[in-house]
Amino acid sequence: MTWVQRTLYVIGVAAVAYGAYWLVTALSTRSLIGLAIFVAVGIVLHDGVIAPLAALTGVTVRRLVPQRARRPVLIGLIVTGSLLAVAWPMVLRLGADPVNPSFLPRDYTAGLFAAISVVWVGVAVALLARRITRPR
Amino acid sequence: MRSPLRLRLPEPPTAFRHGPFAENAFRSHSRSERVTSLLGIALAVTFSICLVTGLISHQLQEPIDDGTGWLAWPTGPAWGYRLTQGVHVASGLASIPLLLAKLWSVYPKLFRWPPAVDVADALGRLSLAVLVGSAIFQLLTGLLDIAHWYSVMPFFFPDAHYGTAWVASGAIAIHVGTKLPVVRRALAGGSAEHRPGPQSVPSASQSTDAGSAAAPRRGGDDEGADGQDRSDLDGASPAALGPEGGRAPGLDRRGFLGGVALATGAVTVTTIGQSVPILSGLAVLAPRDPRVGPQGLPVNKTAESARVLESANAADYALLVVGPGQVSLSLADLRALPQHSVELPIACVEGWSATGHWTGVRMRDLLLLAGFDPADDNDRSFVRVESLQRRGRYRASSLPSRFAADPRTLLALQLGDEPLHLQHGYPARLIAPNRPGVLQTKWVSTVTVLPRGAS
Repeated sequence: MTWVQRTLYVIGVAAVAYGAYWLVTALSTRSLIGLAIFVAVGIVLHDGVIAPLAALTGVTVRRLVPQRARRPVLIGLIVTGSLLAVAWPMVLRLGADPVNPSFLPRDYTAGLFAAISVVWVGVAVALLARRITRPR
Repeated sequence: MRSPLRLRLPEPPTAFRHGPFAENAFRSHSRSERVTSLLGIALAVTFSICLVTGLISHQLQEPIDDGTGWLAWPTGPAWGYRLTQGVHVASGLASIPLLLAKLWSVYPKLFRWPPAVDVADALGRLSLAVLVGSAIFQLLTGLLDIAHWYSVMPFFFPDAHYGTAWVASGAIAIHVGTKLPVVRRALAGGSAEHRPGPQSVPSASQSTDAGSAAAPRRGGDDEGADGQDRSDLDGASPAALGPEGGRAPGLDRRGFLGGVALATGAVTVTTIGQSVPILSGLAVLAPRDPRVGPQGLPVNKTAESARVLESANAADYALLVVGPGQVSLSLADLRALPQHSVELPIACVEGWSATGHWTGVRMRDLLLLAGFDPADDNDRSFVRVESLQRRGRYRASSLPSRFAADPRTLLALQLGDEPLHLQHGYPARLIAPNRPGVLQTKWVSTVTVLPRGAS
């Protein structure tokens, strides 16, 4: 074990201990249970839903998309998925406040659609460029 | 003597070894120690930025203190908090694709067989739940907060996000410590690419070479198809075909990393415009547009939610200034005092910010009327600025006397050369440089000089 590792362990254990202590003293039992549930839901949501969906998408692309088109298509899917991961609370407008129109001032469905369209135009251009530079 | 941590655990019946637990269940060519290491480094950077900027913000947001905490926050530059908090939120949003990719790169390890070799191994794997769980929690709650979906969170967001930030940071520090040798090896060169997959059982010696007996090894590939990562898989040459009977693989590692980099860029480009005005037009996914709101400026706390509709519009409104002396000023009195104009940003904890052209009375001039000169105080006192709002965590804020002395700090009566909109704090609001938006108290009713240490 190097001194760098030792330092990281000491800092890490201290930070985890402080954070846990702070949470336990600052939050009510009700909030702590809510926090624990939230952490668990986050893990399950990723490991049980998001990652399997990504794997399924990858398998589907392998089956349906010809070899030479896969790279741009999969990159397009990574970007699309990331935009969805960030955009969903805005698109669903779950925190919207009718009294405050300056919050969520845009049409986020249209914005998301526009952003994804740009991505797939990019994918199409990459596929075309590939066809031109490397004809088969 | 054998440590109980080394107690071997029985292997579950192989009948359970199906689906993702099956050998070679994961065939993607996008994974390697190098990919995981690079993503890990990127996340270490973004999470560190989030921690530092978050700690600054947390300290500054403490609404009722004497404003002279451990952080001797300066009055300038005026855009200081705008920068740190804009970076905080942008860095957190950029972390979302990075964390998803990082978890993807080690996902097969979740289904390692057998699930745990010994007690230490089991504890190590369980501790990863703290690492992964707290990291996901920070990004998820941060996203929900900027989207104002508070009702779904069964806790007070700032407290939960702050406490968990320490847990996540500590867990990441420990994780980096255990993985340092792996990262070094992976970045040193290609030798790491030819190691057996993580689904093989790590022996005790292999575990310890990763710096921790407890942590499962961050292995090389989840499949035996190494050596193909650098070939261009587009050509469909026989060498580029996957291991499973000629079926070709999907994305190679370079393509995967490139895709993640593009995704991170796309997320940033579509949101950063809420903090960077010239990019506002591109911010199609940002919850705010710095150009949109009453008088061209966004609003966070509304007059309705603060319940000040009547009191703010009352004809008998008067500002009370309490120092060694005491003075009560009507709106007409305030307008009769010398007026000054400043360009200062409203910089919200949620990352958005927008500059306004404010006009009003200098805070120092007001305090002088009550017999207190903040410029001559050397931070022995602070100023409590209270709102007409009766209840709420942020109904009042503390202004250190160095801020009260700053000529840019105003009790603003106008925005953009018009009387303040009710949503911006009519009849009068505080505007000071380098300060979180939530502390730019609106609908100001009382200004009180208090000795440092008072609450």
